[in-house]
Amino acid sequence: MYWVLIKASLFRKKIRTFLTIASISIAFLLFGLLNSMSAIFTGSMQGMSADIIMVMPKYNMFGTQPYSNVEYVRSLEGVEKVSHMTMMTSDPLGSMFDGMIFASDENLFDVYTRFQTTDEYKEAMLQRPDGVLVGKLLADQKGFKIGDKVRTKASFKHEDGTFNWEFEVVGFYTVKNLTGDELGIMANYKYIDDSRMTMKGTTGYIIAEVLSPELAVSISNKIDKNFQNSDRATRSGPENQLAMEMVGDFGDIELIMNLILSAVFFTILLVTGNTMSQAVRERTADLAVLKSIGYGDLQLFVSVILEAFIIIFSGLIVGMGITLLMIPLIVAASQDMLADAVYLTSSAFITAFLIGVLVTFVSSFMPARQALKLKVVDALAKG
Amino acid sequence: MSDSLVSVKSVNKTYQRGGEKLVVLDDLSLEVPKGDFLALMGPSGSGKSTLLNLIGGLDTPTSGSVEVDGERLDSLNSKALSQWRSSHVGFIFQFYNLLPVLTAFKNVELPLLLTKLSGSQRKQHVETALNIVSLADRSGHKPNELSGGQQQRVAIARALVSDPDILVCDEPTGDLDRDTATEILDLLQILNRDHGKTILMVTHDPMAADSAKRTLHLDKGKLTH
Repeated sequence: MYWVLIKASLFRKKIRTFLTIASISIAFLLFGLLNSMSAIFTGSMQGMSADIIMVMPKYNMFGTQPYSNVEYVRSLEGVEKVSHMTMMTSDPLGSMFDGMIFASDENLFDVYTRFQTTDEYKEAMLQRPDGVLVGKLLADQKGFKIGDKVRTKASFKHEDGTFNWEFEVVGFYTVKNLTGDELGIMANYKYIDDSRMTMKGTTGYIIAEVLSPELAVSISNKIDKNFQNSDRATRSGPENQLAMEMVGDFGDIELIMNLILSAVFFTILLVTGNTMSQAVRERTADLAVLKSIGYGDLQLFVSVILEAFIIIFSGLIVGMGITLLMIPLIVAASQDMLADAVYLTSSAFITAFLIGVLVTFVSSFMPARQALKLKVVDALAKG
Repeated sequence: MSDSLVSVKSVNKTYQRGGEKLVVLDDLSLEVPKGDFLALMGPSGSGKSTLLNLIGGLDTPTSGSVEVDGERLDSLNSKALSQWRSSHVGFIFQFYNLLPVLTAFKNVELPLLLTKLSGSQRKQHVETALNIVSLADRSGHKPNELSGGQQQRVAIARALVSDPDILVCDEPTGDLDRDTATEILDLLQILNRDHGKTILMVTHDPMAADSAKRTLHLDKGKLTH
């Protein structure tokens, strides 16, 4: 019975119903996309560990700190393994690739266990100072093979007075989860530091594995306290927390996301509420006739609620469905950099469902009540 | 118990409009025997439609009693009145009031969706009703694909389909041309004569009233003759 009434109502103004569902679909698409990318904004990417701490220059996340800080961190109680990274950007105009070169040591693979390579490649790096390991994704894109020369125009001045650097590919590395990190090249820190003209004896940021996640905060605080008020002041913390703070430096991401989501749902509410009000107002005579032939007040109330439910959940299914279809496209467009950062969790679907239920009731309650309270005699008299 | 199908006794209906009390029906009494075809005439605002609404269970009197086939409508609540209407009365309106997106068949089937009849039983009832109004071949058409007269026939089939005791018609020919109106009135006569339906019809049209077995006139809420 309800389906006949709902169908009669939905198909009465097909274009309006279609546009309403389309608007709601777009709102849920926005919701789905924001949710699927929230890991990027909240630092909750898979692979980031709570027992890895990062130590970086306090006032410039892209700055440098003395290499001696590495030794200091290594000396602390509770610190298991230590490595570090120095970033060299490459100028796309004079380089064979436009990715990142990071200079590190062999300990990197012990601390960052998501970075993986073979013992053979590690040994090759030790044997050849200008040897580099190329990320698998980059190697696939550029076709790098072992023995290939990689020439790049980098941000550090070479001791020969130019910005030109040349390396030889001695192996490859892979990265679990954060496959975007496979777009880089790993070089020997010692070779880079010895060969550069400026900033010798410095590194970018330090990474250390601590005994347990519980120790991560206290060790980080100890490091920062040790260097506070010095020209080498640091900013330390568990890797995942620090990543989130760094994103937060650009603005209150959570607030921005909440504002966008509020706007999205306010839109759904307005669109559906307006549609339902119009639909019930236009059908006053129909509702009066239905009541006259025996349909009860409550039956018509329920039918209006169900009609809103169908409109909103059609939009929800389409919107979230398109989101699911778009995720692989986004990942592909990012050259797999976002493969493990863009995804929809089951909680996103549950939230969407709850929002759908809430909006259904809020947007359709007044029109449904209007149908419930409709006086047949008055409605028929108005024609 | 009297022989009347409809028994209206000392009914008053008043409305409050602003500070003013508007008397629409004034101590009105009426008996309608089973099988009657009664036309109600009178000027606008005389209370014809209000009386029809009371007998059809769409409204309740301010005082007095309305009894149809032994049921005191004035004592039923809204839910009970809805249930009563679904099985005892069929309504025919001036503007047909069909649901535009449903076919003739589906429009006629609407009252039966409230019953426990199976799909095949409903189909049988709908086909019978459409046959009576000679529209069996138009069952798949939507209202906008039918003429005014055909739409009114569909509305009559919808009123008939649950086999009610009484048909309540409010200006059933008011929106139709003369020839089509005659067809509809002939159909109502057949329903009254051959199918035993008791019909109450409000009309302004003397020709329509001539189709009825008897005519009563209302003026200022009272029956004049």
